[in-house]
Amino acid sequence: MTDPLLDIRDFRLHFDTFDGEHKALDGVNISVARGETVGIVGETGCGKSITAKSVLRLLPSPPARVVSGEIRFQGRDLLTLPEAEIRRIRGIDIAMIFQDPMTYLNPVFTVGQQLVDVIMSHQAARPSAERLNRRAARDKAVSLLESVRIPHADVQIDSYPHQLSGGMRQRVLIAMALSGSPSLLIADEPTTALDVTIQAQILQLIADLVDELHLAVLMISHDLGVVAKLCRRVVVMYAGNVVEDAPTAEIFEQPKHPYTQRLLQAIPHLHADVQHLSGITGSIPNLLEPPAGCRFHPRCGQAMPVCAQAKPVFGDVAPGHGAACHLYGEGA
Amino acid sequence: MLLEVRDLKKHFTVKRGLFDRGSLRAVDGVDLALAPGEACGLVGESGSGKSTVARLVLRLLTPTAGRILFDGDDIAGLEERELAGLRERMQMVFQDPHSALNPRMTVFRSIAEPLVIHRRLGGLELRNQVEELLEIVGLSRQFMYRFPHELSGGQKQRVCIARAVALRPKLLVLDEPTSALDVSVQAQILEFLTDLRERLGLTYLFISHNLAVIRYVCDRVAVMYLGRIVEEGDTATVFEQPKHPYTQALLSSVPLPQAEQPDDAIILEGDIPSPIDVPTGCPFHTRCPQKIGPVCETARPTLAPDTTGRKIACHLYDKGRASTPVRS
Repeated sequence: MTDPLLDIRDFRLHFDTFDGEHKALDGVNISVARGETVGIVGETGCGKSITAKSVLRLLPSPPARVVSGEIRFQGRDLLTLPEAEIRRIRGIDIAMIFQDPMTYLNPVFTVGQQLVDVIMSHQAARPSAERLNRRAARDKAVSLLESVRIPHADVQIDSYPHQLSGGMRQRVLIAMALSGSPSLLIADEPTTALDVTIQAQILQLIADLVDELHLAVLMISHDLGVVAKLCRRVVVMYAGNVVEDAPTAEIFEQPKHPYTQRLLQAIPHLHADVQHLSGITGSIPNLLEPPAGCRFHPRCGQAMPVCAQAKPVFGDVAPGHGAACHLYGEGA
Repeated sequence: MLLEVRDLKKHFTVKRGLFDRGSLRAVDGVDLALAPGEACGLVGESGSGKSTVARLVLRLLTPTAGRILFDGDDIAGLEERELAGLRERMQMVFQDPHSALNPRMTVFRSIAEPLVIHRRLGGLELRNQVEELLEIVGLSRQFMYRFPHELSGGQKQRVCIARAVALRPKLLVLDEPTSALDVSVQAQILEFLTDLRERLGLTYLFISHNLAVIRYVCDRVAVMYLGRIVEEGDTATVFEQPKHPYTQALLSSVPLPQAEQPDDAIILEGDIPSPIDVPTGCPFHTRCPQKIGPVCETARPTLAPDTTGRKIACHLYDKGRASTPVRS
């Protein structure tokens, strides 16, 4: 197998707070191959967004503190790169889109001005012969807006963000993300703020772009449906740990980790008359003092004595299907 | 019928320029009826008017036109003073339990307040009733003197529900009660709400943009688009055989949490039009993949039942109210 495009290994991140050390990520392993679409799912506080932001070093430090691990992108460890180097990666090799498109657009400039600014800022990283002037950058901006299927892009480019709908703003942000021709797109809940018919349009657009541009996508979502629609592989996180990592079909048809199983049983279904939904008893642990052993053991229906003592090692339970649970450890 | 809404309208006046006043038609002719003990869902995207309908029914807003018959009384024109008695019989649960609770009131005070105001209870009797309510919503007595910030999201929503049912209302309006919660907590609250309806004989008007949640909770569903109901019927029937082109597209847009993804998804073009400039005729004609012709642009389709009792507002089903599309 070739080297993955992005490889997060044994990544541990803590936040230093007045109340103590918030152990947000506790040894995360995720890899994304070229052109692969990977989804990270989990509930509030599981660490999915923190993982995504860590890739681009977007978390302020302090309070965030990397305890161990590495994040390799195309073979280079992003965690140790000097700031000048990571700036050449952000938005160029790795781009990111966020949940609420309005927050990420400046309301007093037209989308064209903002798009041109982004394109121009990428020029510094290019050889001088290939650098674009502002006029060429504007032409590029129009073609980017066309590539995200914005109708009348040559007119819409002069719109202010408030003149566009939520779906159109998210398209603008996707255009901005594509301006550096990235090989990896990190999408943090990109459709959560959108209505379902608009969400369908944006998911279709991202799927088309993946095909056209051979883009790898790391998609963060709390909506298992969104991930099922777009991703080939799903990573399930719980309280700062990856608990399961498998091809999408296997996650839904043969979930192995008790947390994944319970999560799937908690979702109401659109096309089935479900009599009983089972929630997960208890609540998400306080990560200032996470439970010893497996962080899910206090809520797990299948917990064994070992679960409270030893942290389960992540290992293969089937080819290409990994889980971190003592049920599948040696001797089980 | 416990609640009957007839041709309900709510238009807001909005400024468009210095002297230009526009009219935002948030709710534009809604008919809806709820039988006692029923759970009726109201679904639609943002701007469809579902929350405005809820607020009108509770008379938190005054309708521009139309009638609201609740428990035999027409409440559409009641004065502020006359509404107090109404609140005993209808209550609301909101989306964000954190902002619905006063941060400086203990759980006890929050739940006790309606009992103090309406029943003038106090002392031991009040304490007993609050204890009983906590038990109904599945919270132990130890929560009584805690403050909202000491509770999780799911626990806060249970407190809101306890407060809403304190006066034993007949109607509970729930506006996205689980949208702010994680799925594992949402499952607990949904199951609890289903159980509560049976136990207390409540009637629900349940608003959600999450169609799967509606499927789980509601017997009947009304689909709204730009201030109007486009389709209404038994939840399972509407979800399995949607007839209105908008309902079809809406259901088909929901990404399903399963391995097999249907490949015949209907993806609508464009955005929802602004409720300030509602398209003429059928409000959906600008995006409708099954538009039949000029009739859709000029004539507003009426919501009428087909042979099975399901109601659809679409010109496809005009001729003789057939249950299959009629094309001329």
